[in-house]
Amino acid sequence: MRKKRLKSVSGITAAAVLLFSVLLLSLFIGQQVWAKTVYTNPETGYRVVMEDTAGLLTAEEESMLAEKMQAITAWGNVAFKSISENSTTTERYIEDYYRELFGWDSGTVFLIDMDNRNIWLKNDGQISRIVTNSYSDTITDNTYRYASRGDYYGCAQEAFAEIETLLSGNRIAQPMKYISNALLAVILALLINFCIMRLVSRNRIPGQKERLRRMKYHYSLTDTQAKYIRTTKRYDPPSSDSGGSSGGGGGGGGSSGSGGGHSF
Amino acid sequence: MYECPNCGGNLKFHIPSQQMFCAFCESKFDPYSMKKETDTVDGDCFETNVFSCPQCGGEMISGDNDATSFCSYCGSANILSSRIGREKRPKYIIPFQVSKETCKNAYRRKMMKAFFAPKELKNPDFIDGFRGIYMPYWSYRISQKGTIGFKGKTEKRKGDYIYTDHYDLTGELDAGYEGYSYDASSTFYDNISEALGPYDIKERKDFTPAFLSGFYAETADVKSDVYREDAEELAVNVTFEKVKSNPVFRKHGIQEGSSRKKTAEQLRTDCEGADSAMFPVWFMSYRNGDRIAYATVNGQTGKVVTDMPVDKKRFFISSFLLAVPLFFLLNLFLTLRPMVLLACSAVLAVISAYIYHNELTGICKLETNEEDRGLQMKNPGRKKPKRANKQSTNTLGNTILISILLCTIPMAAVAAIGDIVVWIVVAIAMCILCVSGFKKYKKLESLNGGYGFLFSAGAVAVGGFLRLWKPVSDLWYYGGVVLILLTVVFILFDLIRNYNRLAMRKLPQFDKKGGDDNA
Repeated sequence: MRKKRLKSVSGITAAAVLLFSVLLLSLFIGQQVWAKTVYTNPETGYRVVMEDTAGLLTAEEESMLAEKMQAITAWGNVAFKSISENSTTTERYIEDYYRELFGWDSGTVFLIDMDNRNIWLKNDGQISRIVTNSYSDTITDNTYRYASRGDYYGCAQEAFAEIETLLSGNRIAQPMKYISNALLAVILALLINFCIMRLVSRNRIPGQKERLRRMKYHYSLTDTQAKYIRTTKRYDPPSSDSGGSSGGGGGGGGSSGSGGGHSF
Repeated sequence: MYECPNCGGNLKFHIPSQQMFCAFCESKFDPYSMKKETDTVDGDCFETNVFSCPQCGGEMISGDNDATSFCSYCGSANILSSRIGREKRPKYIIPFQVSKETCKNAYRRKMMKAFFAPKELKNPDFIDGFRGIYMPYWSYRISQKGTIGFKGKTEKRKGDYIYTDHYDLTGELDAGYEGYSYDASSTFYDNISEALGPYDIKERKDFTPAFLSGFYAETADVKSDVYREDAEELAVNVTFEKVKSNPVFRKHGIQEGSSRKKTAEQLRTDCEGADSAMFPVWFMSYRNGDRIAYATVNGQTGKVVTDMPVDKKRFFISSFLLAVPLFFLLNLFLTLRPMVLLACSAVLAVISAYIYHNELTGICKLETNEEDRGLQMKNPGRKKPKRANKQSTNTLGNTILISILLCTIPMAAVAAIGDIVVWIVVAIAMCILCVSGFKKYKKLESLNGGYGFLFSAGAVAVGGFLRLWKPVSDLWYYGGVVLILLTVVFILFDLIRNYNRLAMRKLPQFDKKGGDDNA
């Protein structure tokens, strides 16, 4: 009896220890994620996450930035992340970070990678449908100068402000797009115009049919015969190649959503 | 001069009525009824006035005695010297059927589309300078008559073996071609005369000098055998296509001869001869400095063929105007990062260098008259010319196709394979073009076309360096793109300068008696 009681007590203790351990672990992990969340939109449930690992912002700047980021939670999650060490590319890092943080949920992450000297924007879900790759490139292009000057708060603040502007249905300045397209348009116009010029100024050479139409000619072929001579044979086994397709390459997989970046 | 039997006035050939017409008493006469004592000097020749240009040596003949005041070939305003000469009588003539007014209208219509042409070419006073000239042509007669024999074979598979049945194919062929024509004047450029044709040989008439009244005529100085192979080749091509489509021959798999010459022999091709003929051309020249452009209108069909020089100012202004809608179009779907833009520009720089290379090849051929058989015959020391039309068409086709296709490729290439691979391809292509082009065209001082390759290669090299350096500021990339843009502008500027050489010819020196070699 006593043995039985002892056994049941030790079993309960073990279960309690296990339960406690699991609770402790989950609390620890939860704290890890939850500690970054500085705001949760009560209506949409989307969060603002602030993780300045590289220590680029002061507490006051973090607070001000978080406040600006809150507006974006109407459309999705939003995060600011800075890192001082990165063993992979900025793009790869932000992709993994986004998935870890928000999964496949709608959101946007702005990353300052001090190791690679890059700023990067990654969007998904509803936000990526508005803040496309092109806009991501434009936003990082509009803001990289702040980072170059060491004004990381200004850089992030401007990036989130432009994201919010786009999400609100307004327009942002796109100097990169206009300068690039203007230069490209001029080069293309010169080449296309040259082709047009050559096309309109060429003299067409008449073809064989046109020549024949204006000539006198006659043609008759009679008494045509085909005389069989011999038959030869050669060994030529059908190809063993079944002729099937070699199969296409796999799908791209990998990232979804939109993104873009710029060095600083 | 043909005198009017009624009033003694000067009779001239009247295009609308196709009769000899007296402007004083409005009488009309059949050209064949008009005879002068000098029309038949010794059967084969007729007597006429020969006008020579003291500057270029070009000669024209006319039944009229009026001294002409300018030379159609070199545009010289000198009074041409005239003399009485005997010219070989051509066998046929196609009289003018397009009046000068119709010719001018046709030319005006063509020039309305020619946005890039200098405005002088559209000047009404200038257009009035069209002159009716009968150009000498050789009209070939090709016959293919007799029993023809070709090999035929059909194949069928049985198991691991292919069985081939061999046949001898025979038939009785009777084919003939008459009227394949080539200009017989070395002063008349082949590429113009070829484009101006074909003339409808069915409307030709037996020659009588009365048809020349009121017009000029060029004298023949190219031998008939110069274009004989071309005439035979046309006949062989056409006949073999027809023979191939014969049901018996097609069924038994007719095989073409091992060479074009062999096929010609198998088809019993024989050039029976070449008849001399005169075909009508409305002719005008536009002189600018040491270059001259020709405008010609077919006097039978009204087809217009012109050298079309390009006004550089118009070209660049229109290019920048075209850039405006292109800019808005690109804005609809394209946002390029400066680094990608630089890669795209480098691809476009290679395209422009390729166009440059292609066009310079064509310009070079024209500059050296490499493809003009008539002129080559006059300078037998040079290498045998190739047929010009196919080559020039291909060059133009290549230019247009490559330009249009490759204008869309840069973005696709960068997106698909990454800008590093694009840069490697660009570097290799530019090296090849640069080495080939600079080496080839630097030698030709008149073209001076080598620097375009060097500049574009230099700009691409700067772009490649920027790609490796990866500066942070966008301004570096934009600077690289602007540099490439400038080289494209330079290349096109140089190309148009040289293109005007293609469109405008060297002042002719026909090496005829009276010509001034130092002019």
